[in-house]
Amino acid sequence: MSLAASLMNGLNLGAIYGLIALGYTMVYGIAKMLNFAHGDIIMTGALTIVISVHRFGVSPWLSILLSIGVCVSLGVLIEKIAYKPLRKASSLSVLITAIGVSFLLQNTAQLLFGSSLRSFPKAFQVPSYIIGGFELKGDRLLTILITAMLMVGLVWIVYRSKIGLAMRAVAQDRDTAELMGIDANRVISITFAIGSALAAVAGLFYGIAYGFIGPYSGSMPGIKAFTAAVLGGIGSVPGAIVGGVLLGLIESLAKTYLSSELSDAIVFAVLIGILLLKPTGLMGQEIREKV
Amino acid sequence: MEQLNRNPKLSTCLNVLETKGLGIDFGGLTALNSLDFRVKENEICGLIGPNGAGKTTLFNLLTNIYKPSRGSISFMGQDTAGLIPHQLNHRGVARTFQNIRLFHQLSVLENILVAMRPSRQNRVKEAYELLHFFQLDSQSEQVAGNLPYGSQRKLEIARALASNPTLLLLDEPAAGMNPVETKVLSQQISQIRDRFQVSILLIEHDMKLVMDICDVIWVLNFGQFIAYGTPLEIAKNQQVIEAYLGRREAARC
Amino acid sequence: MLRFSKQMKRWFAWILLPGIYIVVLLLLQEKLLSRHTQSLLVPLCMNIILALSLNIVVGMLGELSLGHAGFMSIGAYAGSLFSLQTQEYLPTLLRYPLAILLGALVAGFFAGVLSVPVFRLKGDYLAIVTLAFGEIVRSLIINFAWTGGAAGLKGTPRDTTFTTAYLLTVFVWLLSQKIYHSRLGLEMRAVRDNAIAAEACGIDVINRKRAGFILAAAIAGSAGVLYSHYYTILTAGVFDYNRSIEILVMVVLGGMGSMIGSVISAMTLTIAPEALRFLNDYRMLIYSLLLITAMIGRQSRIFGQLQQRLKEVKRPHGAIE
Repeated sequence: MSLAASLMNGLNLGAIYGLIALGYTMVYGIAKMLNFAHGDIIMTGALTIVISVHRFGVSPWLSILLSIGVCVSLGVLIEKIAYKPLRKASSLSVLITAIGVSFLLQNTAQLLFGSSLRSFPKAFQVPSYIIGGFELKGDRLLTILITAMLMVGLVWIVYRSKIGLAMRAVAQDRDTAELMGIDANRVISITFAIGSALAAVAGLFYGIAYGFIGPYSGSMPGIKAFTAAVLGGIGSVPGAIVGGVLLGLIESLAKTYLSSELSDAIVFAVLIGILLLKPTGLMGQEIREKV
Repeated sequence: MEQLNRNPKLSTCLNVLETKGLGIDFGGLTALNSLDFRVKENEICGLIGPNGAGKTTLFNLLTNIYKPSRGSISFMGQDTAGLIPHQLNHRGVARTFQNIRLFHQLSVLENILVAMRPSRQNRVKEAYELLHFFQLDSQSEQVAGNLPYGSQRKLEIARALASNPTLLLLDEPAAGMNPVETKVLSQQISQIRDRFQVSILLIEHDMKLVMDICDVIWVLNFGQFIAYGTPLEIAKNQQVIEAYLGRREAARC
Repeated sequence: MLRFSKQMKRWFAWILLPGIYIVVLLLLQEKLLSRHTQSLLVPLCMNIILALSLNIVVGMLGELSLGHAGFMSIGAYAGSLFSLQTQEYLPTLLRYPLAILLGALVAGFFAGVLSVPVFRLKGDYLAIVTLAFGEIVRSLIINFAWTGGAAGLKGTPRDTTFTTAYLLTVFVWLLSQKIYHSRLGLEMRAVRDNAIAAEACGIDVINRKRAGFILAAAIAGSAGVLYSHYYTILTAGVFDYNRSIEILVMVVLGGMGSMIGSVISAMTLTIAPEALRFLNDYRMLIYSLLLITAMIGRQSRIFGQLQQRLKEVKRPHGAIE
């Protein structure tokens, strides 16, 4: 693969990871928890598209909307049922619950739709363009463009809108924010909703990029996107974007120039590396625990 | 209680704790400005100020939980920069916390034992003596999380003493106590200073307690010291009164 | 209230532990155990060992490790490779224990390497890092030729018997008890309850976390060697995420921190799936629901009170030295 193609691929992956990482980072910053089930929500979104198009003949555009709807509902529901009761619990309890939810999603999908991979609807294939000698894959371009737009939109929401202000306030100090009249519960639910919506889109692009979806497909992207979030600085919105893109590039270049099989291990090495060198990530700030 | 393993008595000129130009910023906000502060040997030193003045932040700096943005801290004449909190504890600094931080699933006795250096002899015996001082020895097997609030506060102090400190930092030890308990506590704090030969620095909002037992009081407001002196001096200090009551109220005094 | 006095515990150790062994052996001799039950004996021991080891990290230390199967896997491969290389010139009596030791050491080593960056951090990173670690181990094993690749590693001598498995189980039980009642165990539990206060009391928190993590991994590694020398064929797929979750469920359901609880739930969760075969498809689903309800249940006040009562019963007497 040429360098250009590799970079393109990397940006594509990076866009997907960035979308997922945004969900992780926002929930971590605002609800102060690692939503383990996030990766599986992506899987759910992608699977929704596959099932609705292939089994129920839903039009592709409608399936995207459906997928977003399903993911958002799922995200908010999970928060209400599994995470909210544990707001005061130790972080260990919350983590274990999140694992439980993740596992639940995976196995429910497996029971309902079987464990084999299903191919993603061809309707989403976008033609490629040949410019000056190399092939610009249309779907990659589309992914990058739409993701960039979504990210800009999200940054606008977080830093310029009223709800974004509320989100940042809750992230910094929930108790004080509540004293100031902010409904922290609503803010958290909205955060989960936004994160899940992004996850649905990420699921769409993931499906387009890889062509197949199975019940366990969410796990790896989830881990990698988490790595991206940590790389960029967990809790930081721009950090998630930067981290995602960087990680996508690293993975793609590693696949091309080092080894395809070991690319996962390399990503993991990146995670360990950041934790060793700069645990707060590229753009993160030190989170001071209240003592 | 037998004399704990200690260094020979030091000259009274030595400051147990000293800060020079100490300050910390959180992002754009200067929480503590540039503090020159000291605690003398065997002194009970009070740290008061309105809420948000920076008292607990100062404690966190002194115990190396936060890293200062500027200035230095020295304990027993030695700079504490770079020490991890547990190392600082080994040097002789112990603290309690504003929100009780007991080992809630461990027993009362275990809370004490875990804070003692493992190399000490007769640890269990000494632990019981320490508990006895706080009237907690009969509950030694109780799970710490089950103790009533007042006992939990006392246990925190006992645990801090268990590590054999030279300097004891108490963060609002009387919080949530009724006047009777507070009176008992203030007597105990004086006794602690005498019996365990520690210097004590305490943050408190209960003025009666502070005025009763402190040798010296430092008043913090908006990240700066606005006054320091004996309880009598502080009680008459105009700026202090203003800080607590506001200008108009103060004018009436 | 019932108190398990020190005497009662000694009684348990000296009489019950060998007693169980003798009983089982007798049953085996008299052919009173079905084929089916026989096949469960070694897996039962393995699960108990795994649950006890994860309990050190999750129950005693309060940290979530999700890659436990990965350490089991590392130990299994290390032990097997060693045995395969040395089976010609080392007698079994020497080789097998060495293999177990090696498996434990190699697993512990990797845990050590992993623990250097991970515990420096505040936050919930251990979970994801160990999760990623487990996945990476699996993918690396599949891709390396000398571990047999996707087809697996064959030919490990079948050294594990009920006797050896039981011996290792007893050893791990006694080791866990020793740890729990030692200074290390006390400090780990303090760290679990309140890491910041522990630090302020002079406990080297990072060091204790590393110690617990490495110990647990080493024990898991030894269980892996048991596994590989029983089933003789090793494939990467056996030590997957599902396995890590299964062990976690055992520890959680046994009451985190309780060793006897881990043993009982390990036994239950080894036998139940066999007895309830018809539910096999739903097994993982049930586990996930168990995890969620167990955690939410712990939060609810009724359950909390119940737990307090149970704790008062179970509290070991004179628990520290």
